[in-house]
Formats: sequence, C-alpha cells, structure tokens
Amino acid sequence: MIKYCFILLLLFPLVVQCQTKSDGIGDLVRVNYTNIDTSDVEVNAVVKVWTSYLKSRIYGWILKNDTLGFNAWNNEERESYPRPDFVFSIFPALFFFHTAVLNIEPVDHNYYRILNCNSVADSTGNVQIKAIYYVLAGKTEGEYKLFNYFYHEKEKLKTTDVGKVQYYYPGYYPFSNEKARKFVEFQDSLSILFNQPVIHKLTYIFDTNTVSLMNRIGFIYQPMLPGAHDGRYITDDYLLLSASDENHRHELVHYFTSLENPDHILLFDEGLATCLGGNKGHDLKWHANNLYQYFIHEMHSDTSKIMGLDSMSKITDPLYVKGAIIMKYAIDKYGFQKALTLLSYPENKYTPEDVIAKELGIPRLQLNSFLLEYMKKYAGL
Amino acid sequence: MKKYLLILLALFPVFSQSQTKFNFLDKFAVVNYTNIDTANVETKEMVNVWTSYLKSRLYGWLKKNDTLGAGYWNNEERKLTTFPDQMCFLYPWLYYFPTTILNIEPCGDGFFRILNSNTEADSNGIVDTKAIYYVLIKKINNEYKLFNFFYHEKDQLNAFTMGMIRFYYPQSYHFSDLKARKLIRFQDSLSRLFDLPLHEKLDYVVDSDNASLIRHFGCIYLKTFYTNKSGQYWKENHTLLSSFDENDQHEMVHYFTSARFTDYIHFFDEGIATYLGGSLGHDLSWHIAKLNNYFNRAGADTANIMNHPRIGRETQPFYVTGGIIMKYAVDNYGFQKALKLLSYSEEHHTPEEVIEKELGIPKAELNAFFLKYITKHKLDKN
Repeated sequence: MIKYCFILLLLFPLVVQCQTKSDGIGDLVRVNYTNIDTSDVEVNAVVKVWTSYLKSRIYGWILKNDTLGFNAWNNEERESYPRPDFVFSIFPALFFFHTAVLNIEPVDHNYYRILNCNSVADSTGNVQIKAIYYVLAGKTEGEYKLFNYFYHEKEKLKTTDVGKVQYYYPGYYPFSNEKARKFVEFQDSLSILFNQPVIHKLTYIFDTNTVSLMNRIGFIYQPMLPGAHDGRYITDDYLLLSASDENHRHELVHYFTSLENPDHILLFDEGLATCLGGNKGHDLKWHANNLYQYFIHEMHSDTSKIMGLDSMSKITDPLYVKGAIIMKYAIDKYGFQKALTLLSYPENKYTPEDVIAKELGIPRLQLNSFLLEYMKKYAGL
Repeated sequence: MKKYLLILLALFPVFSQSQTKFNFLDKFAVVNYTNIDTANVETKEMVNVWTSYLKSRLYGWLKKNDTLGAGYWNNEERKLTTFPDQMCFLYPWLYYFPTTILNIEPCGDGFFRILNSNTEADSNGIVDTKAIYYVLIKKINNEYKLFNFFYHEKDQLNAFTMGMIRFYYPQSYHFSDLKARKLIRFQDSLSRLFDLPLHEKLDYVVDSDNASLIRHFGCIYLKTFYTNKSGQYWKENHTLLSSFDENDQHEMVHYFTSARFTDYIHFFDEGIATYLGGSLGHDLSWHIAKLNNYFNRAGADTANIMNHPRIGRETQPFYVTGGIIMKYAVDNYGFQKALKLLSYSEEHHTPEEVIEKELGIPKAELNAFFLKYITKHKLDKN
C-alpha cells in the first residue's frame, strides 16, 4: 500500500495535468519511430491498440477501475483470465514508468511481437531499466487484439493435468508425477485447513530457472523475481509461476489466502505461506536459524532493529520469516482460526503492529524481543 | 570523422578526469545489483571481467588503440581476428553510451550470458535505448573469458559452403542454391574488376528479417538496424550479414573495397556498393527515380542533397549520390577512376575535395550536378 501511495505522489503532477490535458499520459508511453514504420498500415494499427491500452491502464489506476483497457485483449484469454495481461499482473506498477515501444516484429501465425522497455532516469542521467518484455498482437475478426507472449509459447511446452492443476513445462524436463501428486495432496490439505473448496483450475507454469520461466511469459528482463528459483502466484488469474519444481507449496498457500481476503496484510500473507509452505526450498526452521545467525553476526545482537530489517540475503527474506514466526505463534497458541483472523485485516486500514497487539497481545514495544525469542525457538536453538 | 570529433568533445571532461581517477569510468559500466548477486564469487569475477573490458574499450578509443581489451576474449575467437567483439562491428559507438549489466544467466555448457542495455537520458529524463544484447562468458583454464553470442549460436544454424562462401541460416529459412550461385558469379566478376583474387573465406549469415538476423548475434534490440531488411559487412573477420537473401550484392562490394583499401572515404565506398550492388533491395536507377520525384518537386529542400536525411525507409541520399558519383566516374573515365576515388584517405580528404580534383566538379556546383543528373537519368534502367 505504501508503494502505491508513493507512486501516486510521484504521479500527482501528471495526474493533475491529465485531467485538463489528456495527452499528459502520453508522456509515459513513447514509440520509437526510428525502428517502427508507422507508414505500414498494419504496424500502425498494432501501435495504436498497444499504446491506447497502456494509457487505459494508467487511467484505470487513477479511476480505480482495474479492468479498464482489457477489451483490447483477445476474447480467448479474457475468458480464461479475468486480468488477461500477465505482465501487468506480475508487475502492477510497471506502466507508471516510461514505456518505450522499441520494435514491432512480425512473427509466426501473422502475429506481431511488440518489444517494450520500461525505464526511469534520474536528474543526473542515470537510467534504471525496470523491465524489457514482449507482448503479442494479432488480428481477430478484422481488428488487432493483444495476446500474452505465453499464448503462443505454451504451444512449445508440454502439458499435464493433475487434479485441478494444469502444468506447463519444457519438453526436456523430466516431469515428476510424484511431486505433482504431493502438490495436489498439499492442496487438498490446505482446502480442509482453510475450509475452502478448490473450485478453480490452477495454471502452473514451470521452468528450471527464473530467467527461462520469465522468458516464457515474454520477459527478457524483470527485477521482480531476481532469484534463480523464484515463484509467483497471480491471484486473479489463478496462475502459479515456479522455477523451483512441481511442488511449489509456498505459492499455493497464496491461492487460499487470497480467497480469504485479497486485501490482506503482506506480512501475514507471506508469513503464513512461509510457515506452511517454506520458502526458496527451505522450511521455517532453516530460515529462522539463518535470520538468527545474521542477527548475531551482522546486526551485533541489536534487538531494536529486528522488525525494521527488510533485506538480508538472496535466500532469506526477513519479512517472510518474521511473518512466519508470528503466524506460527498464532496457530500454536490460538489455533488456525487466529491465522485467518490476522489475514482478515485489510492492508489499507491497519498496520501489522496494530493487529499483532490487538489479536496476539504483543505490544509494539515488545515485538522485537518477542521475534528474537521465537526466532531462536523455531530455529531449534 | 565529424562524428568522432563530436563524441571526443562530448567525452573530453570524462577522459581528462579519468586519467587521474580511473573510477570515473564506472559510470559507463553500471551493474544492476538487484538481479546480480556479486556476493557470489563466480558472479563477481564475471562482472569484473566484463566491466574491465568495457572500460578498456573506452581507454582504447582514447589512446587510439583499437585492440585494447582484446585480452579479455577467448583465444579461439582471437585467432580468427585481432579484435573479436562483434557488438563493436554491429554498433561501433555502442560502449560510449553507458552499459547497464542487467542480468547474468547460465545458458549451458559452462557458459553464462550477460544481458546488457546501453542507454542515454536527456535532461527531461527521457531514456533513449541504443541496444539490448547478450555477450557470453565462460571459464577457460581457471579464468573467465568473453565469447560472442554467435560463437554458440552458429551451432544451432544450418551451414552450407559454396565456392569461397560459408552460408549460415536458420532451419526455418528456405535456402536458395540459385541465389547463392548468383552471388558467387557476382563475386567472381568483382574479383576481376577489382583485380583481386579471392584469398579469404567469407562467412555469410542470412535470415528473413533484421530482428531475427541480429538475434543470432545476441541482440534483442539494436537501434541502428531500423529497417526490416538490411545488410552489413564486417571487414575485421570477413563476415557478411544479410536479411535480404543469399545474394546481397551491395555488401559483397564492401568485401572488395575493404580488401583493396584500408582507409577509404565512406561516401565512395557506399557509392560503389550502391552503383554495383544496389541498396536495400533496389538498384541505383530505382533510387535515382526516387530522388528525382523527391527533389524535383515544388518546395523541395535541395540545399544539400548529399547529406539530406533518409527519404522513406529505403532511399538514403548519401548512398545514392555516392552511387551517382561512382557511376559518373566509371562511365566517363573507366573503372580505374572509381578505384582512384577509393584510394583517398578519409582522414585527410573530404569527398567534395576529391570529386573536384578527380572529376572536375566544383564543390559549389555539386548540388546542381546531382539535380541535373537525377533529372536526366530518372528513366534509366540498369
């Protein structure tokens, strides 16, 4: 939520201007006319549908209309995915950085591949690239519609159905039915725990490393999943991305937490996912120990900084571990219903500290020492 | 030449400072630490090799040492050419725009691919992306060495040798023996015309469009390849790139001009290539007709035809006027005169001076000469 507010502040002058001058939003979308020949009627039509869509996304955000612009997408994907734009779902703030439409290239089946680069530059001219990605455009019923890069990419992948999960994975990968079965068993157990029937079919896209996985979605570069074996669950599209294996439990927990309350507090959501499904191939015990060692050796045992610690290593995310400690404590002491209660608080109205004090009786001032005590306990130290 | 001076002037403050403070060059090689974990010893080593190389290229340019930094490359590619970096062939100025190293990704057989983006931003914060590309790196004898993306990519392509040319093309490409034979015949005819026997084997990489072609060299995006189809000849390693077909005659002419001369005037080089081999899929007469339509219309700006910006996506006046000069020279004085024009050094002469001296067309009358020529020859067929 803080992120969104920050972006709103950054965009405020632009938004104010946009209300009086509609072209203001156009500044966030630039077409590279050196390489893109808009004298070509087809290319011009592709440019129009894509740039109009990008502007709609920004307007949609200002007007709090999450679906504005989605009619630019093809019907097939819109029927399967409520929010058909995977790039937007993975990186919602992306379009608030300048989009440069770098190239439009014809590809198979009479589709065009649109190459985009989102970036921001500071006053000294230093450039930060936020993402480089492709999206497709193809003609359906006489007009150009947008398609996810994955729409075509999936034809190159193998697919297997296990329970209510449809896996997509590269042909060279030795798919493990055993791991997939374990995943479905875990799904069933979570279904009982959350008292939520599994009604949606999950699309599970897997590759052996994050770069290859994100290439399947169309990303050449993105900073959202920087680790080698990361995962991501896309709430509205019931889409699970994993560079781990066929049994990515952490991300599956998010399926259930988002059914409970899509506007949950991030600390509790990631905490419960880490508590029940581990993270980056390790369970809570391992991460708690990792965080404890870091606290002793790098933070010189300074308890005042535990709650504020937001980065540590590529494998252990302090926020996830702290959240997991709180969720485990809540479950152990009060039962699973307490975890669901913590998840029921909306992020835009409560801070985690307020909720912890209210529901678990741990005052804000004692939170650091509480975390240290249970970090040791859950690490088995 | 003007470009060189302009960039030298722009970079002067950087270099004057860099002699006392090497770190200033760090600005030209930025590492994206979000995705690149330099706490990993191997990753850190790869980053060091690549960033040190990028800085060497800038120093090399300052010191007029074209091969500085070549030691960071693998021996196999260095044996083929003194300076193996193909990105420098594709876009010689690329590294003078800051390079951001976005990612380092394993890609099999012990290779890693380094994803880079070269950009510049204006005072309004608008970013101009010059290129997005990969370069490869691999540990050889306990030391990381750089590799061109094509080093690996060529194993994925079909290869076929005809005469002195080795063609590389993707499996999806419908290779035409007939067109390849035509190119060989054209090569033979140029060999006689330039009086140059064929010594060097030529690598010819072909694909159906520019985006696919440059991808074989690791480029996701390259601003300089702005048309759908084009070609390029790399004299450094005798490689010809074409997104037209197996018979890119324009680029083949460059093979001979660069084999015969070391420092020639660019205008005459592109001119002879356009005259003998056409340009962007059309022969010289087609382009002359295009120039005629454009310049012989009411209100046309005819002040500097030679350096007029591109007309449409296919006609580059610089190339066409060069072609006109070379055709005029050959028609009036024979092919030896074309060779004579090419023998002048770009460092010491301007095309206008040479045209005046060798063809007797004064600089002040050059525009009028072009206008008259395109009007007279607008209906010619080669």
